[in-house]
Amino acid sequence: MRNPFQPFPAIITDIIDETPTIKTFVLDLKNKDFSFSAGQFVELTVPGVGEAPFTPSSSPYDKLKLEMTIMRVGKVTSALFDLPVGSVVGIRGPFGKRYPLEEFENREVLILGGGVGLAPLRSLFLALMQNAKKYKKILIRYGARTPQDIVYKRQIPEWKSWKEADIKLTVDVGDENWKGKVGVVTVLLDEPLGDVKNMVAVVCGPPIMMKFGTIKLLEKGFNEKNIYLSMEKNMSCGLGQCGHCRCGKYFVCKDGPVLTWEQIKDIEDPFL
Amino acid sequence: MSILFLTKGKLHPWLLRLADNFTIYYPIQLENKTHYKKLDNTFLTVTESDLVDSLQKIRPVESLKGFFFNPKIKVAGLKDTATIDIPFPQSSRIIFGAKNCDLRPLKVHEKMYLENEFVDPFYQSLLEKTIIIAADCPMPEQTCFCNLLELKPYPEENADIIFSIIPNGYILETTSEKGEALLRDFNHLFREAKSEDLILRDENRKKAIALLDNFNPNSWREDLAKAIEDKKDEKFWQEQAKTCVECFGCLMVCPTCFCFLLYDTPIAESEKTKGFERYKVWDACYYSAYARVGGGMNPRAEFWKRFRNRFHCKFMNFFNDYKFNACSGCGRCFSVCMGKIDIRKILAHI
Repeated sequence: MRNPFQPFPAIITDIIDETPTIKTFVLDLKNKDFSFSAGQFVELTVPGVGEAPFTPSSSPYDKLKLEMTIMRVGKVTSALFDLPVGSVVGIRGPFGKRYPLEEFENREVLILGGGVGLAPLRSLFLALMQNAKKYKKILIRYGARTPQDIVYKRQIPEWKSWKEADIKLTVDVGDENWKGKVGVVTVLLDEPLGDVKNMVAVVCGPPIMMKFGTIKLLEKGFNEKNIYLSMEKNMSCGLGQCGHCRCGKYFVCKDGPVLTWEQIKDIEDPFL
Repeated sequence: MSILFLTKGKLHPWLLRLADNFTIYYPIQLENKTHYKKLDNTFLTVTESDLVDSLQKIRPVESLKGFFFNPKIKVAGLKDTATIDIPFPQSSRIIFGAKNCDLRPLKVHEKMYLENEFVDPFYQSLLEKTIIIAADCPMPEQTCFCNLLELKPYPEENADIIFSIIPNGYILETTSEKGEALLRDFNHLFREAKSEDLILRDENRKKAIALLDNFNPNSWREDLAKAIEDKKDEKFWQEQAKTCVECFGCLMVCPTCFCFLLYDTPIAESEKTKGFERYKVWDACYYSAYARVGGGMNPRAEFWKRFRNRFHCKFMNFFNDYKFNACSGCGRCFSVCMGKIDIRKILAHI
């Protein structure tokens, strides 16, 4: 019998500073029996400290390494930030449902991210770009608090050069070097986006951004079932058993972690 | 499946014989309460009438939950770069005398832990290695309300053998191949039950049902799950939770509560060896940090929401998913409640 509580060991091969509070951890997947689909998440163990759920930010097509972009917020992430390259962590998973990419085909896909919320969306973006011809267009609209808080600063210029992608950024507060848009991420939705009636939106960010992002998308005419929201709940076991991630009728770890607005619209304060 | 009869006086020796091959737990009165006790040498001081007295009482203090999901169980670990092998439990055991209100929770746990994409191998292993001889509950008490959950005061499912006491002996009805095999080994002790034996059993059962109907004459509303969903009134839930002292005793004694927490402890055998052991422990949704995420957001920061969650979980979400409630009417929750909160009354007011 398989033991779903048992993580496998993985070595951290690189740690990349994204912002003062966000790092990308690169784990070696060579010789590991592990793969995931965009949208699924894993439980990462810092030995002796505990476990927390993260959605990978690397491409699901990359079988050699697993990247996770993580913000230092709690006990596990703080301990993780103290680990040097070469340390061993544990991985369980993948858990949850994948994005139904087949339903995204022949449509425009809007990726709406806020802050570290771009981390799981990067995995989706890279998965979409792998088969970019299948989608009409892939848009990224991303907002961070300040230019310093933007993640993937090194990759974004390259992504912008990809003809299938249309990428726009904003910051809440600019600085003397910032030439781009200033304002919360929803200001990027004020501009024409395309065929919003058929467009798919995938949203991840802090709860307040998820809430107002959803409101804006609905105002723009997006269909409730085309708004995919990455829910942040206490996904403790990942197996749909422990009860912690209950959100309305869903166990977010099993039924999510991505749920559509149509699924969660009747839940009291779904983003809390 | 068979319905067999065992003569009075043969129960005690039969259990002793079974103990040659199984670890046996049986119900016994200790300080006026029924507890499960592991059969050991002290069983020789227990008389058959002690056993019968204990079996006539309502469910023991302990539910069956701990037999299959110990309050703390080691489930995983890493040592350096190697996984720690945790063996699945293998010993064969018999639990004797469980009541129907402790069988329904097994069905709840099967839905959560076994009939799922991921199977809990520890739970599964313990269940496979256990034979449950469940017993009729002839004398329900004021705290019992299995009838409101559409359960009978005698076993119907989730047992291997159903045991009933009648004046001149015992009826054993097998309901699984495991139960059938167990009795097959003792053919010489049993005879086929006669129709008059079954009439006596039915009379006892009817009396028990009548007692329950007397204690709890009014059913809850038929659309209970929907009514709970619609009950969004904060004041109502705050009023119900008013006398709760937040000891969480109700959740700790609840046989159906399935929540757990995974927590890790470091192992440090030497400075060079690093790793951890992972434990699965009982958890309770009343804890303030239960649903809190690393970033600090908490969907149920207020206690009334956590209090309500217990009703959402047991009588709404679980019912909507599986068409039965995650409650068996055992009455333990309000038996331990210092605030005298009786869920029967709350559900009757919804």
